Amino acid sequence: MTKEEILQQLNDIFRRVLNNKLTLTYDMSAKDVDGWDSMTNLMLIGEIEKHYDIHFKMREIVKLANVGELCDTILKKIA
Amino acid sequence: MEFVSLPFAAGLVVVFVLYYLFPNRRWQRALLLMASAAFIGYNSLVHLAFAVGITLFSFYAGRLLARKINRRSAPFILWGSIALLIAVWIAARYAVGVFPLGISFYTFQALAYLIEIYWEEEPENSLPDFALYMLLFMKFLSGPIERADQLLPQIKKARMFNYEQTVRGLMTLAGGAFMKLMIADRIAPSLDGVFVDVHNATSMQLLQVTMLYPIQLYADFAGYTLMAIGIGQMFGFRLSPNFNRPFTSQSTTELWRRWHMSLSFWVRDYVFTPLSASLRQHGVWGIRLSLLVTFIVIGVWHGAGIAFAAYGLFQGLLVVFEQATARQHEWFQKKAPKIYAPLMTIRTYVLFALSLLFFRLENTREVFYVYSHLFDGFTTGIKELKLGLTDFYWIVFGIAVVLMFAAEWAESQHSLIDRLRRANPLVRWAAYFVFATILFAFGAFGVENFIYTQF
Amino acid sequence: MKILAFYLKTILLALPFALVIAFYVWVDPFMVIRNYNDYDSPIVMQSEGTVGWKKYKMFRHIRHYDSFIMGSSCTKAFNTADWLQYINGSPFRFFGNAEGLADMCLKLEALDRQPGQKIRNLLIVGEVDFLSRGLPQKGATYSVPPEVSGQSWIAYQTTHLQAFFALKFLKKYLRYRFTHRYTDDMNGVINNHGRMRTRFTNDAIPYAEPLIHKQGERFWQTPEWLSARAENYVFTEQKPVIFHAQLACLLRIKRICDKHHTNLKIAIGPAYKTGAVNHTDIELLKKIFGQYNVVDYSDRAHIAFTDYHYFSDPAHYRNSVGRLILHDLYRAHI
Repeated sequence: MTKEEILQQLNDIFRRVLNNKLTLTYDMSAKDVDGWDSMTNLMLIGEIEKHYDIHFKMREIVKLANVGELCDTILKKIA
Repeated sequence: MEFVSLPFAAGLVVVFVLYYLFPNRRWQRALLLMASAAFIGYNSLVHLAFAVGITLFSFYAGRLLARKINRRSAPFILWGSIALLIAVWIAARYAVGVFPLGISFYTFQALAYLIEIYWEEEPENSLPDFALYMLLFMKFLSGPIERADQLLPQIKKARMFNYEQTVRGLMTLAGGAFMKLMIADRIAPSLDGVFVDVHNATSMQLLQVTMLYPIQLYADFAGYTLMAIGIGQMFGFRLSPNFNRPFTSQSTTELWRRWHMSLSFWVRDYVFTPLSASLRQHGVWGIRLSLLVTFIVIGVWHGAGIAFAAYGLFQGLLVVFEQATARQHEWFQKKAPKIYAPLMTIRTYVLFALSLLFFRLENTREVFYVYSHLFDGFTTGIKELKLGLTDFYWIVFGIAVVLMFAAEWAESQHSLIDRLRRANPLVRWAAYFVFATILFAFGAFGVENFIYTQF
Repeated sequence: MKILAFYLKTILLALPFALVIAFYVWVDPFMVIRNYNDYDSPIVMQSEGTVGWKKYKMFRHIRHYDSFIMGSSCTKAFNTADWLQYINGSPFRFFGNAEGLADMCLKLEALDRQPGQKIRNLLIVGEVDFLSRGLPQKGATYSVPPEVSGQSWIAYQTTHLQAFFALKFLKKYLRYRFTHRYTDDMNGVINNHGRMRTRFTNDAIPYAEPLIHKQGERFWQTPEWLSARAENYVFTEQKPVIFHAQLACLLRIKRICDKHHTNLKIAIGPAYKTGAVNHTDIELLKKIFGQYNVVDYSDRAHIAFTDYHYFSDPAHYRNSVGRLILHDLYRAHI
């Protein structure tokens, strides 16, 4: 799996959870996306964990800065 | 010590002059520490003792935690420290005698600091720097609650005199003073007169004070915050904003991103996120429960007692309701976009005003009394609605409120302060003089109490 | 250096305000900044509470005051010389214009705090407005020194500073200063009666009584009096005004009087066409302070006293009424 593929899959997940026809880029974060706030963040995390069958640690959830880092973290976990 | 007082003004001038006389990091830090100690201990050394004690404890607990971060003892050190800090805070609330000023604010700074270390941030190794982070006099009384990663880097640099920044700081300070002196302190005695004796107020009076209280609270607290931020700017610090035009909010959720931001962001990052993360397998119900708990924490941060918890719970229920009915709200907005915004803004304000009664009256029975008598009848004469304030001052108050909101709007849309700074000197100085004259002639000096200094 | 420019500019900005304050300090129109030997012939109408307190402090070591007439400006109807026919002691009138219950309470508590101060006799003179004010009033008229009010010094001074520079006030003051002539619109701002009070007892110097003797019936035929007399009046009772806040003040008064074993009397004088004190308020006062310690001349039994001849102006009854009230209050009850 490549980072680009993960980005694509995240895009689908985000669109579904946030009900928002957005296009993700690596440098985006919560403030750039309508509807992505601390509440929906957890819902996204939950969906991502289910989709990839991974588990985020508390520190990882708190320290995620942007979509790019999210992709990197996912890549590490599924490797 | 009060911001609007001769001793503080005199002290500020002295500290300011000394501060820029030797723009060297060690000197400035020492000066600020001494000034902060004097500020905190001015009314009673008990305040200073608590503040210093908790500062020392947090500093050493942080170092210990960082050293043992990968050991099994780490969670125990963290939770033990948290428990101790909270225990001291609660004990101080119930203790007889002096309630340590600012304790709710610096305790929360300390908690955030320790939690961040647990999340593998670096601890602060310099005790004087950390002490200044905790005790900096501008933000000590009533916030903003500063994050270590925001404030510590600023503390570690020497600050040279910057003309533009200092002048803007002075303007911000003046803006805050305007809100406090022309609005909050002007109306406070009138509202207090009703709140102290709700059973003998008419229902129109109850309605009137309930709807006016958010404005008093806002002018008082946001005014204080602007003064704190302005003074910070004059000394070269960028403190966090605490308010962002909260009454433009169209939902309670949005309100809490604009009201007392340093507190709501704090609970978002250190209560909501960890709690909801650990409940995430319960989907939307985990989030709802986390929201309720988070808002109850906001409530009880303000005070011990059912009323404060109720205040928080009220907010939490509104937010959960909004979240659960998000689709319906969107539908409504699409159907009637022109009335959606004003209607929602009014609804948010009214609900906020109603919830604030718990905060203001501190007694749930009295709050329900007020609720049940808000619409008893419209038989009050004009005299009773004056609440002891002359017509003249009602007009002054009203104009001041309009000016405040207009200035905030102008600043957000058209950068009022920038424009003023770039206007020609004659216009600028005329504006300064007019402003100062208004404050001088109509300010309600001497009504002492920032509402939030009891926290 | 940029910082010097900053200091210079802030001083420039502050300069006009500093000058204004300096002017005010030099003039000290309300006589609250410096101490004076004689407060009783002021140019400007003062806060009676402030003047009373300052005189009390000035003379208490000579006069050893232990008896006080307190309340609103209706205290002017009660002369300490008349009072001394019923009490023994060294009297002092310590009142306020448009005084409220809470304002009086502050004064009484300040007296109580003075070391060695006895309060043997207390005469409280009130009416409906007085009883209704359960919170201290704000403004230069009601101000008392920080020692009494607990207010900060800066609040005390800025209250007066702002009152002085209020356009309404300043215009009349400057006009009077320059023209040395008193015009009617200056009423309430400038003092036109020369000596206002006696030095040691703070009694009012009655300027109305000599006028009444000279003019007779014509005294009550001025335009103001004629329009006041023309109003129709049917006896009414005002709504009750004693609630939680007012009751708290009354209890504070009682506590102090119990402590000093004070001989306390409450005088409610007649009201000119504004209505009687509510009977529930009177009953409450009697319950707290004693049935024979409260006399109410505003009630139906005293309706004869609503005749204008008993008043020097619609808000103030004459000394003759005060004397009658004193007699009623202090006669022995078998």
